[in-house]
Amino acid sequence: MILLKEIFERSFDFAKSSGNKKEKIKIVNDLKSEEHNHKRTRSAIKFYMHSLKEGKVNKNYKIVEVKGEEKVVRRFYELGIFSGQKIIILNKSPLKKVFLVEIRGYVLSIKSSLLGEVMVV
Amino acid sequence: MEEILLVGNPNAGKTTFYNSLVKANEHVGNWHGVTVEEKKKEFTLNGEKFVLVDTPGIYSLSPLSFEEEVSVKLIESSNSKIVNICDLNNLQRNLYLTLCLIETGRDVCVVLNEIDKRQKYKVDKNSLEKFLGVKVLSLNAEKNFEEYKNMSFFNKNTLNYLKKVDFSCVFPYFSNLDNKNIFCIKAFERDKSFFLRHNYDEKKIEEIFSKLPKNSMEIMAKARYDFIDEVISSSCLKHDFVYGKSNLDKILLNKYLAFPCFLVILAIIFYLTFFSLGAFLSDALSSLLNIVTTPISNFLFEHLGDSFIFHLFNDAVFGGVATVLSFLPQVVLLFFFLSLLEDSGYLSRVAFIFEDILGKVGLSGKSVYTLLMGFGCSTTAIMTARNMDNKNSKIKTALVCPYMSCSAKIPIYAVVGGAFFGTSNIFVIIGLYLLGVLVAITISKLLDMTLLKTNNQTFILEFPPYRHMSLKRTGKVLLENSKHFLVKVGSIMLSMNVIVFLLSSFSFSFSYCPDGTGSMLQTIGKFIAPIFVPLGFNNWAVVSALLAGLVAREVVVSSIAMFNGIDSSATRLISESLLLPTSVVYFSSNASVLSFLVFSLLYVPCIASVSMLIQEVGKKWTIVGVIIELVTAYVVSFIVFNIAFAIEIFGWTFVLILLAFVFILLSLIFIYRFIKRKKCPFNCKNCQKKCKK
Repeated sequence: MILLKEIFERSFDFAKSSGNKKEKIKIVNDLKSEEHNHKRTRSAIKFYMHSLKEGKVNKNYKIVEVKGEEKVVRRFYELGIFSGQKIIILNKSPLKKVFLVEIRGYVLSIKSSLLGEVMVV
Repeated sequence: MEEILLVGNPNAGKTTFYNSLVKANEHVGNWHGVTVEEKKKEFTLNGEKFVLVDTPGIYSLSPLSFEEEVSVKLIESSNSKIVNICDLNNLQRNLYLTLCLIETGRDVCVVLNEIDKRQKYKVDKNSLEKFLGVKVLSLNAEKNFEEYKNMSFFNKNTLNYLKKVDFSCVFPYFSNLDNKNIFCIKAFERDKSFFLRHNYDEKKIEEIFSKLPKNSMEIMAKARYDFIDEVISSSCLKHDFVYGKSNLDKILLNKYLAFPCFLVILAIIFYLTFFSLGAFLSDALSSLLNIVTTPISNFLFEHLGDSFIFHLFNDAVFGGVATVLSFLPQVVLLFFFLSLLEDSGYLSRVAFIFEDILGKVGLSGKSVYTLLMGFGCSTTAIMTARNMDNKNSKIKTALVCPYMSCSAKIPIYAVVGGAFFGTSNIFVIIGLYLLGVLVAITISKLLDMTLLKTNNQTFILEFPPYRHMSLKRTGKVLLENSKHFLVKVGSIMLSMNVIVFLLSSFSFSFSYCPDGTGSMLQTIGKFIAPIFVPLGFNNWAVVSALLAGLVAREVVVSSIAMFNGIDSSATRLISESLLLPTSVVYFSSNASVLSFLVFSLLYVPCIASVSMLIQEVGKKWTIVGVIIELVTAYVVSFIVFNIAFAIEIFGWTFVLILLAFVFILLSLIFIYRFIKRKKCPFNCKNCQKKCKK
């Protein structure tokens, strides 16, 4: 819920200019669902999303998009890393090339260049 | 006979289950990638005979690394029954593989393995059975597995999430086949290798894939995971702890403390095996062997006299074999500590720490396991190189593994090094181990730059929780390793010693020469010895010992003992005999001893390792590897001999001046490259170093 709150506040700034009450209610309802169909929420997410490689330790993130090489993306989907999941970075290696990541209740270590294609908010 | 396959995620407990059902003793560890090949044995289930097959761990039916290909090929090749073993602590991910297996329509039985006492999920088996349509059992694979007799194999095909996915775009291609569902699902997963295995053209595969929606893989995975969430929320109670996270990781994976902790642990293992505990047990064993063998040899001397048969028994059997036997405690202790490391789960953390360094050299973090096991025995370690997904890095790990000084070279360091260096042997042994690691890293870097380039390497590794080894398993490990060592000594060591004795007591005209002068081995040794003149040791006995060491490294020490006429197992006596000026095995100076030790560390590994290399990597790369090893052994021992000889003649100040000179040279090169580097004119805020300018 903390993630949703942040996205809500940011997209609320976006939607401030509209001034239309009905549109604000639409955005709020759209945020609470998982799908993000409304145009303003999608543009807010596109503006604020960044790759997991630039993330900070011990901060809650939510995955928005997973890209990359085919075999890597397939292995991510099998492990449960797809859009809509919560992910936390636990640790970074000394040279910052490998990340320790917690997802779906277990711990994985993944190379950070593979995580450069995973977009989070 | 019918086969039953054991399938499941890595580190779920398949091999423990196999060991307890079939009463075997396969290798087990808390690491992803211990089992790398299939193992078969017969067993009876409720009166019927089956063959139980143990496979490597997989995550789904599309493989990524070489070991996963082995199990996927096994599953697809025959229509046998499947037992799926799931880890209760990690049910969500394990159920993904279960769903993949049930979709194929085969007979499956699900076994839930309760590994730790503190469980994450409490499962209602009846509702799970209703959802999945297969039989579900729960047991503990190591201690309490009596429930396996209730295993039954059926498949009711009640998975209803498949109806929600729209297969109509690819359905017409497979409508005339028997199992259309599997092909449609695999098309949605974009699994090219599956279609290639079933003899489809590449053009047709591209045609089929072009009809799919863009995010077809995501649709399949989401459908399965939504079903899993539904199943778990309705049939399981969940506790809130994260599997694999522990408080020890705050110390062991800290930015500054990670390396020192690892070095401290290695130093403790090293000290315990070589010096305090290992040396004590080794001395005790050698004195025990002395007590046993001296009356027997006296008895033989009375009855046989100073004849050829007496020398055969005295020198070859008692002298040679007994020396090697007295090293049994140290070898077994080394293997014991390595298996302790394996079982605790610390190796995944080591792989995490070393991945970014080894990645620059061309290896991967997963090769840490192979290299650490190479300290024990490189034959078994080379086989575990299969857990990598990139072919070139697998070849490099396998070729580089023999440089890690294996346990068979311990007798050489202890006997020969102990003779000439006395108490400062500690530093020599540490230096030799470090030299082996350095040479391994440089050679893999050289191979990475020229012949075997690695482009895209993935590293995805799970972290298991920390576990301790049970008492039962410690006993098993110690017994197994001692048995293995004794069998090796009794078979290979004995026969090689007899052969070397015969070759060194008979000349080419088959006349007996008791001293070894004029024998076959001496002529061969003298023929080859001039090659080793730049390395400092051109004695025929040393050279023939090295030749005999090609079969197994311990033979070097036993042949040295035989040439010098030692007939007891006390290593002290052998060391003292090497120092006498009349010894047959003669070293001209301490420098030549050092270069001999370095050469015996680096040259071609024993025949068992070479045959395993041929099996894993192929003939072409083994030949390349063997040539590289010979060349590096020659070059490095040449350098070592010259530096050590220079120290002996000129003293330590010479070496310090030389080292300072080399240091200044290297820093000048570094400064030159630093000045001449190309600076990036664009100062981007989030520089990801991706632009090619």
